[in-house]
Amino acid sequence: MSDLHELLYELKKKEDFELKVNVPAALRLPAGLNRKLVYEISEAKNEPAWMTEHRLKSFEIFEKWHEPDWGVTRDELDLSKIVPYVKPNANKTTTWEEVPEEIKKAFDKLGIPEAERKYLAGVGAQFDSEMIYKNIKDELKKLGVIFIDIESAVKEYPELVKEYFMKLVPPTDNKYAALHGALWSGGTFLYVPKGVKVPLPLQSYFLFGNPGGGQFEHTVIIADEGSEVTYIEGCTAPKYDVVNLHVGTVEVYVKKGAKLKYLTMQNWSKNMFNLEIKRAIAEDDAVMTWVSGSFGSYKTMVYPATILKGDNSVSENVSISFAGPGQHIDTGSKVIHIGKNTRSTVDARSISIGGGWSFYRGLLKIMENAKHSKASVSCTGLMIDNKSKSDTVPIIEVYNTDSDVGHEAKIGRIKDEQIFYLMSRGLNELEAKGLIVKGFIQPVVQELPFEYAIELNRLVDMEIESSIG
Amino acid sequence: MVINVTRIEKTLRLEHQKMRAIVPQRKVMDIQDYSVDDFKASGNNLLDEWRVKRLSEYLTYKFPIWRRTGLKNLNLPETMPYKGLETIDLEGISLLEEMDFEGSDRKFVLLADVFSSSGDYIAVENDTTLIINDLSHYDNTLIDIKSGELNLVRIVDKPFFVGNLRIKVRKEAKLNMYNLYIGSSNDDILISNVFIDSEENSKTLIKDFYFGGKINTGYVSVRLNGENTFADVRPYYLGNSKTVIDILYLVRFYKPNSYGNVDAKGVLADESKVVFRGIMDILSGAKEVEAHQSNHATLISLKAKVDAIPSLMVDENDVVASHAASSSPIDDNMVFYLMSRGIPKEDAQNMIVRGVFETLKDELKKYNLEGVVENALNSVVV
Amino acid sequence: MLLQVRDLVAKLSEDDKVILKGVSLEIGHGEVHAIMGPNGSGKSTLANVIMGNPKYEVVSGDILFEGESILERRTDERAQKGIMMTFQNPYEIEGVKLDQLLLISYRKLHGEDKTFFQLDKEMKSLLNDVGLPTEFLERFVNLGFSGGERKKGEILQARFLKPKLLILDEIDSGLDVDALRIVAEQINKLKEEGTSLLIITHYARILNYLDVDKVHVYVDGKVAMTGDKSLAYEVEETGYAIVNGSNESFTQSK
Repeated sequence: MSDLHELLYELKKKEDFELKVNVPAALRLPAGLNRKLVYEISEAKNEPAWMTEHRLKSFEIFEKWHEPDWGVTRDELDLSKIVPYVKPNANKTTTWEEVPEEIKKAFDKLGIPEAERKYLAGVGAQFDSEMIYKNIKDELKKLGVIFIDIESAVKEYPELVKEYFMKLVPPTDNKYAALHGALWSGGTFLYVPKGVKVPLPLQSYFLFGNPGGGQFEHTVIIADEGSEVTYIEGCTAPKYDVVNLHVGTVEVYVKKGAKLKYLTMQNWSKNMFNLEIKRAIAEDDAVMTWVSGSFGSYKTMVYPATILKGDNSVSENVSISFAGPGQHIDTGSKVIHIGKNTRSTVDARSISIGGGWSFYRGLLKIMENAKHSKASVSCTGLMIDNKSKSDTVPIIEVYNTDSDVGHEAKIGRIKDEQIFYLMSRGLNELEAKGLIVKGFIQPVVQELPFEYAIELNRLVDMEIESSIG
Repeated sequence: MVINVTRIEKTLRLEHQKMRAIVPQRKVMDIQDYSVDDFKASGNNLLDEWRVKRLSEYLTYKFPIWRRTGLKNLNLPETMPYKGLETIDLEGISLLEEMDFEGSDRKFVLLADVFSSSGDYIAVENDTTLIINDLSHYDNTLIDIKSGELNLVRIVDKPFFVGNLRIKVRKEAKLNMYNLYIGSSNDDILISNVFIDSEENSKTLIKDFYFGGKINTGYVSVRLNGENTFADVRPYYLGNSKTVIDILYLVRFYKPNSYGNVDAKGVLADESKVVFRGIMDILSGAKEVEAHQSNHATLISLKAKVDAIPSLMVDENDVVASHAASSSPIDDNMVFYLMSRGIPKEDAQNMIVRGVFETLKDELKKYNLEGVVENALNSVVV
Repeated sequence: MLLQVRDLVAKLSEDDKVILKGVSLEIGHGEVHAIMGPNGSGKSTLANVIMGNPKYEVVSGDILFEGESILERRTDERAQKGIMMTFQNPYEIEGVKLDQLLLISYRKLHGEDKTFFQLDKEMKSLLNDVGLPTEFLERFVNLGFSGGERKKGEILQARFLKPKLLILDEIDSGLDVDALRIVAEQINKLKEEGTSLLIITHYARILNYLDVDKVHVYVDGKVAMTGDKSLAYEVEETGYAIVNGSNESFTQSK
C-alpha cells in the first residue's frame, strides 16, 4: 500500500508543474528570404503597383501561417536554396555538366532532341518548336485567344488578370499558397473568348521565354461561355532543379457551357518536393476535365480540385501516379458539388513498385443544395512487388438525400498467370509487366495527344526497368 | 512470469520504410478534469500499479475536440469507488499490456482504465453465454476466451458512458458478440472502445447497433494476429433527431490467410449524421488475406448526412482487398415492387427501412433482446 | 524430331505433390498428336511444363526441342524458339488491346520480316476466318469474352504467330458444334501452314474433323498407351480403365 501512496505522491508533484505542450517549432526563415527580396523580384519584373502589393501581402501571410499538419513530411526541405534562384538577374542557367547522370541518361533514352537539352541547361527557348509556335500564334490571334506568359499578361491585360489572379487559390489558402503568392514567377495566361473552340491542344512549352526556374509558376486559364479548349502542361522529359521545391498553382475558370481539359504529365527529378495547388470552378453546364500523370519527384502532394458551382456542371478527374523506389506520392482529388444536377467521376489509378508509397487522398462533398447529383469515385492500386505500399483514404461527405454517390476501391497486383500468358507470347518478364502496367494506365493514355502517349509509354518502360530490372 | 512490453495498436499506420506522413494534431478542450486525488485504490496491488502508470499518462492529455462529430465540451461526474478488473492476475496484466490501443482517443481509453466503476475480468473455457446490461458510466472489461465459444451481448444505455472492452480470442476459439448502444435523450454521450486480438484459426463475429443520444461513438479495432483467422463485423446504425453516430472499424491483418469483412449499414432520419471510418490495413507478410469493407447508408430525410472515410492500406501485394461505400435514398425500384403487390407507398418505405435491421433482430431473438431494436425503430418509423 | 519429352517428372513448385510421373513422348515435324486423359490427370500440367510455367518444377527427365534441351529456358525464350500454347482459361489483360498484343508478339517472334500494313491486313483476314467481328481487335485481351470467343481468340493468335509447335490445351471444351467446326478448320489450316500440333483433349469428337498421327492415352501421370485414331474412339466407348486392362468402366462426365 505504501508503494502505491508513493507513486501517487510522485505523480501529484509532476502535476503541479506546468505540463509542456508540444508546439512545432516555428519555421525559421532562412537568411535572404524576406520582404526586401520579394520587393526586388517585383521591381525587376517591372510590375504595376497592385501586383507588388499582392506579393508583399502574401509574404506577410506566409510568415504568420502555420505549417499544414498532414501529408508528406517536409523536414528535408531547404528553403534557403530558393533565394539565389528567385533573386532577379541571378544566373539561372544550369550547365549541362551540373545535371545529374540519371537525367542525362533519361534524355538519351527518350530521344529528346538537342534543343531540349539546351533548354534544360537554361539557354533560352526551344528551337524546333519556334516554327510551330509562330504558326499557331497567328491562328489564335485571329480567334481572339489570349495565350501569353503570365508576366506579360500582368502588364498587357491588367484588368483581366486582376479579376482572376489568385482569386480561386488565395494566399490565405495555406502556407505554401502564400509563399507562392510572394515569389511566383512564370506561367501561362490563357483566355478563350465566348464561343471559340480552339482546334488543337495548347502546350505550355510553346511559350518558353523563361530560362531555368519554373518552380513557382502560376497558370490562369479562363474558358469563357461556350468555348472549348485543351491545355497541356509540362512534358514527360525529366526536369531538374537545384531548388528542391516546386509550388505551382493552377487556377481554371470554366464559364457557362464551356469545356476545358487540363492535362499534366509531371516528371520532376527524384529529389523534388512537388506541392501543387490545382483548382477549377465550373459554372452552369460547364465541363471540367483533369488528366494528371505523376511520375517524378521525391515527395508529391497534389489534389486537382473542381468546384461544381453551376447547375448541370460536370467534373471528370483521371489520374495515374507512379511511386517508385524512395518516392512518397500523396495525391488525390477533390470535388465539391454545389449546383443542382451536377455530375462527377474520379478514376484514380496508382502504381507502386520498388518500395514506393502511393497514398490516395480524396474528398467528395455533396452540399445540401446539390440536389440530383451523381458522383462516383473509383480508385485502383496496382502493387507490382511486395516492397511497396498502397493506401486509399477517401472522404465522402453527403449532405443531401437526393444524390447518388458511389465509391469503390481495389488494390491488387499483377497475377503470375498474366505474366506467364504474355511470356508464352514471346515477351520477357519486364516487357510483360510493362505491357500490363501500360494497360492499367490506358484511360489516361487515351486522353493524350499521340506524341505524349508514346513518351508516356517509354517512361513506363524506363521506370519499370530501373525499379525492377 | 515476465510481463510483456506494452504494444499499442495504433489506429493509423502512416509510415513505410523510412518515409513518414504527418499525423494531424488533435485539438483539445479546456475543462475541469480529474486529478491524482480522484484515484481510488482497488485493493489489488498488481492492478493498481498498472492503473497508476495509466493515470500518469492520462494527466498528460487534455480531452479532444471532435470537429466532425461536434464534441466540444464535457461535464465529468464525480468519481465512484473502483470496480472493474479487481480480480485480475499476472496473466491478465500481461494481456492488458499486449492489448493496448489508441481507441477513439487515447484520453478516453485511459479514463476508463483508471476510473472505471463497473467491469469484469472473465476467463472463458467452454461454451458460455453472457448478457451484460448493468454497466456504470465508466466500464472496463477484459475477457480471455481460452477455448470454446463465447456468446456475448452487451447493452449500454446510460446518459454518459465511456467504456473499454478488450477480448482475446485464443487459438480455435470463437466470439459471437452483440453490442447495443442506446442513447435515450438528446444529450447522451456514449463512447465505446473495443479491442479484439484474434489468434490463429479463431472466429470473431460482431454485430453492433447504434441508436440515439447526442454523440454515439464506437471504436472497434480487430487485430488478426494469427493465420486463418476469420472476422466478420457488422455495424448497424439508426440515426434520428440530431444524433451523430461516429464509428471507426479497424481490421489489421498481421498474418497470412485470414479473412476480414466489415459491412456497415444503416438508416438516417431527421437531422442525424453518421461518420463512418473504416480502415482495412494489411501488413507486409500477410499473404493471401481477403479484406472487404463496405458502408451503405439509406437516407430518409432531407437533412440527414453521411461522412464516409473508407480506407484501404495495403503493404502486401498478394492479397484481395476491396471496399465500397454508397449512400442513397430508399430504392425506388424496391418501393415500386412492393406497391405492385398492393402495399401503399409509405408502408412500403417503412418495410424497407425495417428490413435493413431484420437479420440483426432475428439473431437477438435468441436472447430476448429484439425488442431493443424494435423500440428504436418504432420511434423513427411508423 | 521436333519435340522429345523424356521421362518427365514434375511437381508443383510450392508443394511436394508430383503430377507428371515420368512422361515420354516424341513429336516429329509436321505431325499431329492427341493426348486424352481423365479429368484432373494432369494433362494441362504437361502443356504448362513444356511452356515453362514457373508454377511447376521439373524433378527429373528432359524436354528437347529441335534437339536441344529447353529446361533452362524461360517461357518467352521457348516462345521465341517456336513453341506456343493455347490456354484453357486464357487470362484477361485489361487495358491491352488484342491487336496491340498480336503486333508486339509477332515482332518478338518473327522480327521485322513483314510491314505493319501486311500484318494489319492479315489480322483482319484471320478474324474473318475464325468468325469474330473486326472490333475484337480493339477489345482488351479476353476481357468479357465468352468461352467460345476466348477459344477462337487463342486460335487466331496461333494462326497469326505461326509457331513451330502448337499445344492446344482443351481447345474443344465448352464449344458448341459450330464453333468446334470452325476451330477444327483452323487447326487443319495450321497444319497445312507447317505447324506441328499437340492436342490435349478430353473427348474424341474433335478428332472427327482432324487427321492425327498418334493418340496417347494419359493416365495417372504417364502416357499409358499409344495408338492411332481408333484408340481414341475405343477409350471413349469403354473408359480409361482400358489402360489397366480391366473391364471396369469409369463413368465419364460429358
